[in-house]
Amino acid sequence: MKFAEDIIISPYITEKSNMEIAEGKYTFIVDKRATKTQIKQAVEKLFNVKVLKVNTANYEGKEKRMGVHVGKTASFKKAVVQIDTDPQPVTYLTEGGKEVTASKKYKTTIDEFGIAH
Amino acid sequence: MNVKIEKPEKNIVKLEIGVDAKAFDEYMNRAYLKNKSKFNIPGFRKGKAPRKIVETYYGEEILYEDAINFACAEAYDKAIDENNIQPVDRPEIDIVQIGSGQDFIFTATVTVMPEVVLGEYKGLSAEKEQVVITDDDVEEELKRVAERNAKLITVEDRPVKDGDTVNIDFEGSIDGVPFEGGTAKGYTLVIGSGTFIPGFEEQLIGAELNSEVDVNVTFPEDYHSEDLKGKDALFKVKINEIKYKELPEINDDFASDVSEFETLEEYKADIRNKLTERAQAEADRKFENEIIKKAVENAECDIPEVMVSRRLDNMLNQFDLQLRYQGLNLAHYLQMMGMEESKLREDYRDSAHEDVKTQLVLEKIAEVEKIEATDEEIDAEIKNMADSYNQPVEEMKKHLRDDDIEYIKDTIKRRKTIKFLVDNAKA
Repeated sequence: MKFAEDIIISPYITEKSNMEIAEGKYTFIVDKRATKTQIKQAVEKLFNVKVLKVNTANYEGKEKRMGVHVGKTASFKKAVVQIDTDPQPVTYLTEGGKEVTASKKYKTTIDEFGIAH
Repeated sequence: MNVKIEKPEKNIVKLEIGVDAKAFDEYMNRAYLKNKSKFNIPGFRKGKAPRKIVETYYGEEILYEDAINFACAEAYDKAIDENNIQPVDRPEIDIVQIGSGQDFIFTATVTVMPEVVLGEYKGLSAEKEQVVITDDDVEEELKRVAERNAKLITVEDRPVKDGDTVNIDFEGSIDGVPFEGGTAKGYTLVIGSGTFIPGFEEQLIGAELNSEVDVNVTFPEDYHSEDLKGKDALFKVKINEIKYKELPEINDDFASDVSEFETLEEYKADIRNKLTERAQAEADRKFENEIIKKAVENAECDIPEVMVSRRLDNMLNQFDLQLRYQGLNLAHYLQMMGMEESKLREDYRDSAHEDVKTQLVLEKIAEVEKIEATDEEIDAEIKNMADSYNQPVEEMKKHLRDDDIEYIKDTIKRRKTIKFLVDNAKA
């Protein structure tokens, strides 16, 4: 689970997640073992956006049966990633009281999500 | 929207219509709104999936069909309107270019109303029949009325005479074998009416009441039944009743019986008037038709096939309707006559062609002469209709749709045009 591509599995497209895109919240299915920090880094790397917050939720797979056979659908972890839709240049003081402005170009949307508005 | 017009053939117009990308997107949106409740996409309730999602899931082609329908219908109507094209058929639509972000381009090929080149239509001349009612005609009519008012009187003291009405039982056989349809009881037959095969009625003349007569006849060669034609048959006939027709005497009494007039002279004058009127109307109609026919002949016009075949469809439909009143239908009728529908169409073809041409020519004349139906005339016509349906005018107006009004207008216009032609014609 070294690579960002391994952490972010797929977009999670539903009515709700689709609506939240307008607020800059993108929902993904992520590796079950991934932490919020890893998810944040992965999303920033893959989509070139600034992530503000990550909320995760674990979904247990459902029990399904075919007659006498009991099976289970896969469990998954869902991550709702809040990205910065209006990234400002960052200003900070360095040694000697010099003010430095770092402005990295962030994108404000994740177009690869498929359904950007 | 931009439109290019070509005329590949006479009476056919090919329109190339371009709808710009933005406008087409509108139509796509409408197509999406129309169909959205049908898309089933996981993660969305039915009808809740946004257009973008639907397009990525199914591909935007799924919306094309409806979008094309919307776009073509609207753009085509507009193009027709703007360019003053009068189509007579549905257009044939071909898509030239389609795709998101691209202009939508299609061609519509349609048959249009043919150009009518009027020939001479004013001052046409036709033979006008002179209406002459002779005394003989009046007498004929009187006789017919008398016939209708004749009384049947039963006689017992004399044998059957020509012109009598007899009630008979008969039993027919060929070589001693009875045949189908050859037997009846209580049949009423008028001697000399020619209802039965030749020779039958004549042989009854002179028969006494309640007597039995043997009638020998030969079925004619052109008889409709295969089994019977040309065969000799023997009918045993019993006379049940003899009646004769008593014609009323034609005199003043008769006149006051059958009419509101007191004397025969007055009645005769009335008959003469009525006959004159009828003959006059008939002659007028003939004259009118003659004039119209000439005007149509003088005009030139290439009538597109669709108009003729549509007219034919109409005619056949009407024919079918008439047959249905008699409890038949067209398919049945054709079967009975041993005819194909295509044959029937071929037969009616010329008259359909003539009909269409007449209509086009009359319309053109109306246009050239600026003949219009005025509001008063329309109102009068509606009032007429209301009267014939026994309804108040207001009520009638409420039931009339725009189409009906249009139809009334056309009828009035047509009538006025015909009148115009007749007024300008020489007898």
